[in-house]
Amino acid sequence: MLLTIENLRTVIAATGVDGDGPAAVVDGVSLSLAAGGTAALVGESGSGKTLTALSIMRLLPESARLASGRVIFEGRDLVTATEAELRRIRGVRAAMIFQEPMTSLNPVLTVGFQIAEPLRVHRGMSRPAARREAIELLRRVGIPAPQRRVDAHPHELSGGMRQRAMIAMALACRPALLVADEPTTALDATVQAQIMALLGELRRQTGLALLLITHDLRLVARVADDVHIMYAGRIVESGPVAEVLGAPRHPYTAALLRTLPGWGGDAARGNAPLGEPRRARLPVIPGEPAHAHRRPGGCAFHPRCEVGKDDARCRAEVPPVERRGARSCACFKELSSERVGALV
Amino acid sequence: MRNHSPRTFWGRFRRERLAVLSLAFLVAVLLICATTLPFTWSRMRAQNLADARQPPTWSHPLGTDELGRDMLARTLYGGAISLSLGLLAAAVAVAIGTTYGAIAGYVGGRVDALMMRLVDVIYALPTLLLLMLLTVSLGARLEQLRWPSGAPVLGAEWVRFAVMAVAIGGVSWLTVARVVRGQVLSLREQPFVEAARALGLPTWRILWRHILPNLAGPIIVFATLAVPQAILQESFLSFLGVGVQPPQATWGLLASDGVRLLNPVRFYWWLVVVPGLALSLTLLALNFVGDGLRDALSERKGI
Repeated sequence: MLLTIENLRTVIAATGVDGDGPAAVVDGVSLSLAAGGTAALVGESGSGKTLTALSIMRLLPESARLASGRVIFEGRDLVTATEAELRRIRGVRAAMIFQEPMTSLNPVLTVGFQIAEPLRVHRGMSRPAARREAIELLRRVGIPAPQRRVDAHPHELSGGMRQRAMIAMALACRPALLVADEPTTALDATVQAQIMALLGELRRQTGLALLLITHDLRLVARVADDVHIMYAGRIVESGPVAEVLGAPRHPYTAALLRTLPGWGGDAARGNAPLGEPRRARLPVIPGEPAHAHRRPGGCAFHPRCEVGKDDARCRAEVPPVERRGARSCACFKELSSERVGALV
Repeated sequence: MRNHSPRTFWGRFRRERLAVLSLAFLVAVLLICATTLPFTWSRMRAQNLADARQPPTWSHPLGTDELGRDMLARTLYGGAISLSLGLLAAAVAVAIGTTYGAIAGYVGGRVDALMMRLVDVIYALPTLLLLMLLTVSLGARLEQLRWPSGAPVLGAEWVRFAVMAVAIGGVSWLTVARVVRGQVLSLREQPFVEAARALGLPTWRILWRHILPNLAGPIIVFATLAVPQAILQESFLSFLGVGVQPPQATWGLLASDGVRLLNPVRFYWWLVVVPGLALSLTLLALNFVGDGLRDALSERKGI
């Protein structure tokens, strides 16, 4: 395994405003990713998926702290790595791209400078050599006229091109792992597809492993091998994409799938032909995601769960992760396929 | 579209007429003072007691001082010294203030709190007193500094010059430190800093190559405004007699000499008016340029 995360716990400090104590935003996350594979980490806003990614890279903000667990990357535990060791891993073996291509590039530096920088720092390349490589990287990520764009400032590029430039920066030193935190969320639908196609192509060319952080299940279905569904800091269900999304076992996964238009039982929801109004509303998951500081006891999802809402055990106990073959699920009331049918 | 704000910085700066005019004036003053330095260097020292206190004439267009030295040469030479002292002091202030503020802002936390409290403390001290202390203590030490051969490292008149520049720079970096620290504090939370960290770049590189270029604007504005302030402080100290020492000449020292000769019987107006006017016009121009730069830079941040 290229990356193995075991029982990762990340805690945020007490917030001064409401006087809350420290809270675990990432609470015992375990997952693994093979070299060249693609895993997706899916969850609502606030479920802890971004903090999981930042924990892996050890880029947590000051308010957050890695409390326990291990992040084994290429045989080395990143949790105990020193800052100097991390600098030789970040950008070299493991890179990260962010949601906001608008603000993740430095506005006063040229795109070429920013792409050349990891090459100059980590590879010790000379300025002209790094510049040539930057042009080549820009060409590889599909930016037209790279000779000219290399001297452009970020504001001269469109959102899609900026994300391409970010990818070029991240992949400059040919890392083995790319952590992509909602890389397409801020982009137009057409550009999203292009960026994902680009990532897929680069993956095939360089054997890059991708940890994709997203809330977009359609994207997951298209590109990922494995999916991990996160809720309130825990991974509630994981397994191969086709199996998990085809026959979810956790009521939360099932509920997420039901909120997607055009997924599964469209007829039942009265999916009308174009031009005619839809008869039925899209279902929503009632309630709000559990706030890290005010997590319900027992299964964190139980207040919003159709199956376990009134179950005494779901309210009282935290369901352990049950592993069965390639899949795992943390639920006392795992759904069987008949029950899924009834739900969808 | 007259209201439309030009896109580039220079486009906006060019619209600030007063600032552009002032900049042209400053460049002219600087050029004239610098290019005439080889001539004024010895002429401003040449005494001729027979010609003392002459009003402006053809041979001495700006008159002569009490020792018969040519005021034109002295004013031009004094300008070169005043301006270079101002630039040097501003450079010292920017260098110290930027480094200090950037470190405090980037490291944050307790280090930041401690560093900024120190700034507050120095801020509370009377600048003039601090300056006098610095000049006296530094000056004595520098004057005793010798090469191994026994020759002094700096001539007495240049010791004062260097000490003044360092001392003025050493008390005026506080504002830069505060401005830079505040900006770094907000810039380090920017996603592009996180992205740079995710690329495994060393901290100093992120600070100098990624964060500081974003601060070029405010730092340039401060530097421009620090130059006139330094010149003024130097003039004031020279006026009080603790600044640059004769035979060195600066505008402040020339004006002070002129004022000393004020008496109810005869008014040697050129001895006060010439250096005073040169000083005031230059300071005014520097302030206009600084304001113009600030306006041109801040417009970008507006809507």
